[in-house]
Amino acid sequence: MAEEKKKSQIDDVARSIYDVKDAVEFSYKADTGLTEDVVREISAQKDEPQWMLEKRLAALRLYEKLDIAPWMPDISELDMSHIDTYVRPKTDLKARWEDLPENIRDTFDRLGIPEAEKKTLAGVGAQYDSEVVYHNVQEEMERQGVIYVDFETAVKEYPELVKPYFGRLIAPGYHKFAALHYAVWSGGSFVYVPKGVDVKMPLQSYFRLNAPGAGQFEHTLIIVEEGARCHFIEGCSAPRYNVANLHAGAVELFVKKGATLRYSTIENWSKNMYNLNTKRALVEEDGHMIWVSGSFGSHTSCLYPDTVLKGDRSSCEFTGITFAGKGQFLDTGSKVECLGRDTRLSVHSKSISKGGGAAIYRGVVHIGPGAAGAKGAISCESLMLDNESRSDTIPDIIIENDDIDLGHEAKIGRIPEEDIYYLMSRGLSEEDAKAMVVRGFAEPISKALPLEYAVEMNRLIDLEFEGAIG
Amino acid sequence: MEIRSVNRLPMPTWRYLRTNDSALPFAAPARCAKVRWTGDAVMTEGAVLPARFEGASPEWKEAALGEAYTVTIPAGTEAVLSADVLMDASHPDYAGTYLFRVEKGASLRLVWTWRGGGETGTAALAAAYLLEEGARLHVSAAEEGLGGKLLVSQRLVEAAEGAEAEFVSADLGGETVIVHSRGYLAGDKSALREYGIYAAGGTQRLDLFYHVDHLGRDTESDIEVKGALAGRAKKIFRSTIDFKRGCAGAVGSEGDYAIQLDPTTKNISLPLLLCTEDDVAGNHASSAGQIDEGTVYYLMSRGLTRAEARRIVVESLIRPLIDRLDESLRDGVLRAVRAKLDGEGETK
Repeated sequence: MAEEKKKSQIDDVARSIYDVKDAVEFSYKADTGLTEDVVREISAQKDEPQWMLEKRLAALRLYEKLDIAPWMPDISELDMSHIDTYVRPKTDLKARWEDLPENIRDTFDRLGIPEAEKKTLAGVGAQYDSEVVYHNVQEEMERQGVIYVDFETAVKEYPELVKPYFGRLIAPGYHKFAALHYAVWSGGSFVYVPKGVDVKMPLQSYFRLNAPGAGQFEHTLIIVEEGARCHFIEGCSAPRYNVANLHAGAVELFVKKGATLRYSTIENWSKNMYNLNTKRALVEEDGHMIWVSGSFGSHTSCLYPDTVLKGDRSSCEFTGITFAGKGQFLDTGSKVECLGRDTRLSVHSKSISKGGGAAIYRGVVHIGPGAAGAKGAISCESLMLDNESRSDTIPDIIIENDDIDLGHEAKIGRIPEEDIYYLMSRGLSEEDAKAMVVRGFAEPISKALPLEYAVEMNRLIDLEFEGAIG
Repeated sequence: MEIRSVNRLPMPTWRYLRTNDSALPFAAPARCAKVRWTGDAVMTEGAVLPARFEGASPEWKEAALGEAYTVTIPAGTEAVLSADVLMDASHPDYAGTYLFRVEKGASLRLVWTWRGGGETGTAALAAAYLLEEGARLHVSAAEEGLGGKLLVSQRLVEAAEGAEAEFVSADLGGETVIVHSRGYLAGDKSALREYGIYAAGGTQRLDLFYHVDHLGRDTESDIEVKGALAGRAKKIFRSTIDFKRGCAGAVGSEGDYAIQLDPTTKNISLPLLLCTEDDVAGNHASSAGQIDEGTVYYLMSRGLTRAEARRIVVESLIRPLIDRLDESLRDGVLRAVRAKLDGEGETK
């Protein structure tokens, strides 16, 4: 078995299905770069209400004022004057896959999205470059009052739901790239789960960026009302180009009293992507937020899902894995802010670095003065597969209250030689043994994912290993 | 009073958290006391610190330019030294810069004692410890009754092959205590251990910074800080273990354990692990929280008062580190901790 495994060097360009490039076709493209005219043009193309245009322009002014945070990885090769902020694909929104142009349909077929929809999903949204091209939700969901639409539709059809929440959790001033997002946002998903409704099957949005040198700035807004439950899955990928692409999405999640939201992400952007994404959740009384996050792609990532435990007895779990290979600098982690009483938090982060990649865990847990009774545990584990790579752990724990119980542990190291030796003594090759140990290391994350995504994650790990050791 | 930024993290993080460095009062020492030395060692006037000595900040490094000595422990010899600094009403400050050279195979056991009351005064110390092959260094430090003083202890340690250094300090006195420790484990099999004990109350402020670079192979570092916070005391612990490429076989661990006795205390912990070498084992562990009420209840059921029970729980946390102090300091530190805990806590 082991001998059959490919050992040839696999260059980063050939990352199987994710790297298939479609011909670059679009029905409209805004001028390259970021100017007020471009922002006005995007708004006009979308036929937006005035309030949204004003919000965009205010965000642009803020973007110009804000600096790049000094702790961030080097993003000097990201030149906004060369980024296409808006590329509208050659189709409008469809509710049937067969109505999409063949090349776009083939792309999502290869990624397995229609198949997954048939088997396991209650609704699917698919974005191609700057616009959502497919959206569908099961009739049963609609009967229960669940709204799952692309974000542009939400702005137009549900302004009473969108306006009070849009930009409330992630303000444009949150950081420079949040401001950028609000200036040029396009696409994304809106989910509204009414009080008491349990969305038993997950909803999924998949983001595909095909155009070279383009940016994707989708906005996701999810409101889970009192006592409701929902699982939302986000997937993303792009083919690799030799120019920089940019992803600066924003995800705002509102988890109301007694509600539960699980938000799972498998991020597999191409290795020319700057992934500067922002995610934030507000959890009310007895609410529960679960993040499951796998970061595999991108040239540079800065991603730290932020949970605000506002309500008493609210809770959150973060389970994340980051795999940084050659040429990648993945600065990821999580933030938790405890404000309510008797909150609970669990942060479990793992990272793997190899081939010169850098995996950085950056996190913060802030227990405020009023958050009496908070309890939590934070653990960070980093695996170094060679000594060309880098792995850093930068946690920040701020406690402003005595009535808390918080533990933190972190460890960095390599795969124990004795584990490899044992597995090789059972007949495995060295690379198979290492891949098995790494899959075991990642198991807590794959267990938290639906089966098919866990399989995808394991496949991504195998892809990373092919040729890495042999 | 002027404010200066101190103890900047080597890898900064989010600015809005305001934990990358600390803005703390600065007052240059003016009317300085002198150290009273006991023990035998070769001491020469003047000290040139290594170029990479940074200190808590450039201002604090400069503020320590008072009395200056180079202390040399010749190869293969053993020395025991005590430095007693008494800052009284006429000399409420202290400034001192020292270079300690512990030559090949030599050993130095050094005890720093800081005394003196009063509402004002600044003590600024800058010390570099250069350890040659196989050298041994043990430094104990304790503060006693420093009242409203500002105490800044800055050091640099460089350890050559097989050299080992251990620092144990009891940070009990002073209104503001700034510790800045920078270690370079340059030689193979060198080791640096840093232990800190604290009991802070009132509006005391502890700003603790430790940073060790593992450069040599099979090097070892251990950073452990334990203590209790009461009243409106604030402690910030910035610790970094940096495994540099080539330090194969290195082991490093850092731990920060805090008991918070009052709801108005503030406890911040930034334990960084940086790594560019795969063949290492780096660990961090920390815990923070209230005193375990179950244990207090049990001890009270055995006849102890609540205050006694609380004191025993805190002492059991810090006792292993107190035992690492020079024997001459242990009882005094224990007494000081008890006195502080008896006067603090449970203000809610």
